[in-house]
Amino acid sequence: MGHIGKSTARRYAWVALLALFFSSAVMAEDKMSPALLLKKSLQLMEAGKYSDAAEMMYRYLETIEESKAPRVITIAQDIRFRLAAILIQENRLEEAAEVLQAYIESPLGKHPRQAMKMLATCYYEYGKPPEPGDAPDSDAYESCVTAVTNALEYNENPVVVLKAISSDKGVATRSIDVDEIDPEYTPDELILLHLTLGEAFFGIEDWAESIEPFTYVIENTTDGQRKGYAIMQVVNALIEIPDFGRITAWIPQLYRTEARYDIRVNMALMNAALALYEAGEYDSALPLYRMILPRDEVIAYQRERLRTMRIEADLTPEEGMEMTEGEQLFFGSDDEGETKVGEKGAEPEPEEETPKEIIELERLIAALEKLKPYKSNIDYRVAQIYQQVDRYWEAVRFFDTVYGADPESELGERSIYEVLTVLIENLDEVAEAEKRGFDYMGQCKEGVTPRQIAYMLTGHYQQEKELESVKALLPYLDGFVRTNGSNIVKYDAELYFMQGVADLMLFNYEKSGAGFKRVLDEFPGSHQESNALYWYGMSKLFLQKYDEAWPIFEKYVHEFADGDWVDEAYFQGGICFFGMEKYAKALERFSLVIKNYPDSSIFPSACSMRGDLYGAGVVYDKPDYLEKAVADYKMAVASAKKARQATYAIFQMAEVFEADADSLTSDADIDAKYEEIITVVQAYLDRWSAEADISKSLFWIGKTMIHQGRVDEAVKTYLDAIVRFGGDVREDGVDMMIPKLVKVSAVWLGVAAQGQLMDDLHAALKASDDPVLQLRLRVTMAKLDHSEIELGKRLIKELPDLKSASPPVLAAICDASFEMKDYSRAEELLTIFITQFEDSDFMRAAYRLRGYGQYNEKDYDGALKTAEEALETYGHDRDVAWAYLMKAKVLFEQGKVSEARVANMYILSIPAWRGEPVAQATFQLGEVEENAGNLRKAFGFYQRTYFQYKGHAGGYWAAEAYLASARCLQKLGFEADRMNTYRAMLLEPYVNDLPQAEVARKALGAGEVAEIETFIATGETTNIVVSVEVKGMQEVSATQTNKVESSEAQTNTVESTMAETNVVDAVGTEGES
Amino acid sequence: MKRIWISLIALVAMGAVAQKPEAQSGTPALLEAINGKQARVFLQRLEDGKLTFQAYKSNTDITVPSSKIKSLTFYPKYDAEAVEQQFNAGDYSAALSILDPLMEPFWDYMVVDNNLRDAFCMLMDTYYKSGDFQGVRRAANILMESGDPKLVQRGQANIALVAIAENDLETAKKIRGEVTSAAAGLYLQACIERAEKRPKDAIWTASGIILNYANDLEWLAPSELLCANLYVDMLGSNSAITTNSSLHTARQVKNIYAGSSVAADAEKLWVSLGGAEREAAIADKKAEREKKEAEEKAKKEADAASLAEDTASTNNVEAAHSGNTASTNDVNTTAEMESE
Repeated sequence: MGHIGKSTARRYAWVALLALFFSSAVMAEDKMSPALLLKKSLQLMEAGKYSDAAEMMYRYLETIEESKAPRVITIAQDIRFRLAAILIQENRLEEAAEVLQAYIESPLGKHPRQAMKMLATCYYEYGKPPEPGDAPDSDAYESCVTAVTNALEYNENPVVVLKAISSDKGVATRSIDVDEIDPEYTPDELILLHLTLGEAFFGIEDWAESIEPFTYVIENTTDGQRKGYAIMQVVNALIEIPDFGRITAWIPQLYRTEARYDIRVNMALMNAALALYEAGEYDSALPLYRMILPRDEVIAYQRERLRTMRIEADLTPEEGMEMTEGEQLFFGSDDEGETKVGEKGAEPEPEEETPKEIIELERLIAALEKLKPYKSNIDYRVAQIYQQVDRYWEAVRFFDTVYGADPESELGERSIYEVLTVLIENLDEVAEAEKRGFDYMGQCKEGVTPRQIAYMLTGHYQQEKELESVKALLPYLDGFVRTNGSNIVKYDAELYFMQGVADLMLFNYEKSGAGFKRVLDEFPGSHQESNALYWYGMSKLFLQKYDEAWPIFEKYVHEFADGDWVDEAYFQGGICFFGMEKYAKALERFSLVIKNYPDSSIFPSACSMRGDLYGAGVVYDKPDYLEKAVADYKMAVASAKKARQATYAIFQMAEVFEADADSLTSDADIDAKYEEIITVVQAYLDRWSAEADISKSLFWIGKTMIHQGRVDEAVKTYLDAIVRFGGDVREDGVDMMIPKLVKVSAVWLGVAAQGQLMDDLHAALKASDDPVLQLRLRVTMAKLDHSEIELGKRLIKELPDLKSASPPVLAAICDASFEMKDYSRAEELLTIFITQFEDSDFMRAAYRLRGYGQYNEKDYDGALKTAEEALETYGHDRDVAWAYLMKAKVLFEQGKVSEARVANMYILSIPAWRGEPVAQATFQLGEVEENAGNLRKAFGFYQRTYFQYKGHAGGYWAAEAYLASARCLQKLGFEADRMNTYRAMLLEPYVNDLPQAEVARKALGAGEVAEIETFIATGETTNIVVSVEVKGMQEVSATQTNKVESSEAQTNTVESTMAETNVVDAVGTEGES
Repeated sequence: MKRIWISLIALVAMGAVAQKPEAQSGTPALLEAINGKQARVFLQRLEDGKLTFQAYKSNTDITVPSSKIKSLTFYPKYDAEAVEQQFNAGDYSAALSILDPLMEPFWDYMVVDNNLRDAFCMLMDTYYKSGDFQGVRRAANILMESGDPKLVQRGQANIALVAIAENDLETAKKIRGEVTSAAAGLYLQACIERAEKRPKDAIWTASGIILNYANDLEWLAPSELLCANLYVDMLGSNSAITTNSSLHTARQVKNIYAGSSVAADAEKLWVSLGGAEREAAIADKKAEREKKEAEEKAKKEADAASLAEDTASTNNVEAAHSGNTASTNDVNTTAEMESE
């Protein structure tokens, strides 16, 4: 009640001031009697001078304040009532409230109920927020609550009060006429009081208390608007409490009232719906949103209502307009009204005469008209609700409508994005989403939304591993209009980065490198800069451009010392050094990673790599190099965060143990090494269990068994493992077992055991319906009975695709294709290996097929590249000699004589390639020299070929060499020697039944051929010597015998010739057949 | 002699019975003519657009064109509210057991406006929901003669729905083209698309009703229920669609249209999909969570009280108060549209 006190103080001060002002000039009035003051005040009131009348009334009340006379008290009460009415009219609500309070508290008032009602109104009006949205005066509202409560609980008649006063205080009594009794509140008044009470409670945020009075209004009012408003307030109160369960029950009621056209109700509905939405009460929020009428519909309704209200208030239907004759006829007009129909130039309604309700409605309509249409907002929110409750198709429909209403608006753009999101993520309608998304991106190239859509599609494609589809977005990205907006730049950088990632995952390393570089060049300082730099380096690394990759990783570690990839960048730098064969630096770098990043995910790999370096004994050649390697592998295993990290180290370690064992002589030591293999492999299996590479582990366990002489166990282990794991196309451990099993069978098993093994494989094949396993078993059996090429040929026809083909199967197909010189699927097969079985040892067959295919097509660059890749992968393994031979051939075909010579010579220097590869290389050296015009040298190489390597390749190279020698001799003019060469050829059992021998037969003629054949039939031997002077004084000689190996002397002759090539040592001691 | 007396008594009795006025035949009703005049009548028949009735206490048949009748008021004795409740509760067999015999005398007069048309429509709906398509056709054909556009349309729609149920899609399509209500037309279209195994098209169409005719209460609720069923149809055809969609849709229909037969049908669907069990499980989890939260809150309050005590003891009241003001500064910001 503090505000009353202040009011009183202000009033007294004001009265005092007035008193001072009038102290001299109005001295006479000051001395007026109460009766005169009363009379004067009534006169002023009747004259409409309310302010003056009010002052006079105040003075009167002060004058008679002490009086106890009932009549005076009664008059004073009457004056208070009138004074309150004047003050209310003057909008001096605080004062009015104080007067009414005094009226209620004093006896003999005739209208206590009315006074209480007026008091409540005063407090309510006084406490109202100055502007919508402001907080009300809570003190006034508290007082309002008290006033209304008193009013509603008041059940006494004034006479009772009067008696009470008279009996308690001895004040004189007065009878009250019946017509003076304060009437009970009318139903309308009661409704109004309850509404006021509800509003006051609501204003002071006593939500729960507000519900009862509002409910009273709802149950009793006949005014639809008022009822709807009360329901709305109940809903709002329930939201605030919160009590969402009860809200749902009120909504249908609200829907049935006219209040749904009330602007405030619509606004409140929005707030209520939002509150429900945010509380996750979607079932309640949804009908609320549906109830919200579109702005234009509400405006139209309210305009019509306003028009009606204005006409009822004798105003023109619209402000500033005249009433038409029709309207006048229909609605009539007040005779006392100022506006006459047809009167020209009628003045607009004075604002002060416009009823408050109309002004309020006009203001609300104006506010609503300023509001942007909100239908799309509502539809958008409804769509969100549908999305939340898994009603996805409805969500799409609503989002789509919002988008269609204004595609370029922010809401429209958000909606198309949501449409695509729901279609992809919730409905799996990817094709539809793609169609819409691509259409949108094709048309709308500006702003964030097309980028968001591209980003979403990228994410989807990545998740689905549809990387080609990611790349299909690139033209759209290139079409987007670039700006410097940070958001735009961020999206663009991200999207182009993702393009690079897609290329990377598609193994298009050239493109991925270019893509990451683009991000670096075009979006410097972007959020993806560090990532782009790292993956740019990785792209180079994958391309094996170590010298280009290295500075990129260096840049990374310098510029992004705290970057996410800094440990990896250091590590990859080490890989670059490794690739550049700077092993010492590589070891140093891996050591740095091991030292500085012990918790890094790359740590185990660094350990393994350093272990590899130690194990190679190149950088570190002290006796304990293998121990150091093993120590690193163990560290890798111990720190492995993923099974594959441990897997690599474990089996590298096993290789080291095995190599170590091979170098030992003591059986006990060797056994100990194999025991170590078993120990580490078993520990690995225990640690990683299901994640471990079990088949590879079994491979090593089997190997150990074989060493330990437990061959049958090993065979069983392998057979079981093949059957158990062979159904998975990616089980490379099984693939490793197959050749091992074949070897064991050939070397260790007897005929019976071999038969048993074959039977077991047959049984397994019969029992299996797994196509992958079946193929593996068939290949194993084919290898065992040496029919792999035939099987490969059958599989080429049999398999519609290669999905079920594991590496051994693919290799069989490669070998069969090679045999048939069918290179048509060479590229496909190699790609399958590279993309799916990169580490498989069986890939070498695919390299060979591909290389020969390219060579056959005269794609020499391609062939060279393939050959070099094979060599880099498999080094000097014997079955990769073809690659170097091909390299030499390609260089020869390309006219690079010197390089071809060096290449062929290099082959002669590799111990592992002795035999057939060297035979071919020697022959090719002859070709090189012949082509270079060095016929004598050429002859020397040819002669060496047929002399030393006649037993290789079924005599093929020897036969070719005979013919080539004859050709050289012919060119040199040594016709007799040429004939001798032919004779030697026909006498040579390794070659004389080969097709090439026909050339010799033809040259010698039938008679001599018959003679030679007769000679051979007798079993005689002969020496035919062909000598050619080389470089003037030296001779190249060779003696051909049948059934007799070359003589030492003859060999020495050849060696002296070969001395020029600096490979005498390499070749001279190995030329046996 | 005794026999004679008995015979006489019997004759007297018979005579007495014969003299008692017979109950007037026909269907009692209050007839209001188009000129506003009302009369209590006994309806005899309605044939070829002509209504024959007898005035109260009259045996004379009067035949007038039915177009001259404004309305009829019947006086069936039944608990209309109870039947409506049964219907809205989805107990169609119970509703049918009352409505079917009750409405029997009034069928012919349904072409004239009367106070039982709502009940008649309910009967037609009950036939449909009970699978009595012949009954639906009979009722719908009468409604289509009523001349009341709303009832005509209702009759048309029901004929079409029966045709769809019987896979006579051509008839359904023909009727769909004739209905004047856009919402009704869309609903029929969605049903036809569903029958043609095109659930995606159907749900797109039904969503259009929700989107554009949210105030058409006659078709909105069935459209939403149709959506729930369409989600069921889509199960298995699209891995992304799970029972969640149909469950949520059915639950919303059940809640939003509570007290209607559509809500009852939705509830049946919801229950069949395991909604009740799932909701119970969620409620259990919620209760458990709330209990846990309450315990945590109590613990926090206890801790806070303890802290306050400690704070007070160290005269650091001010600091404690300033710490509490943060929560009052939390502003619940709303989206731009709501603030507008």
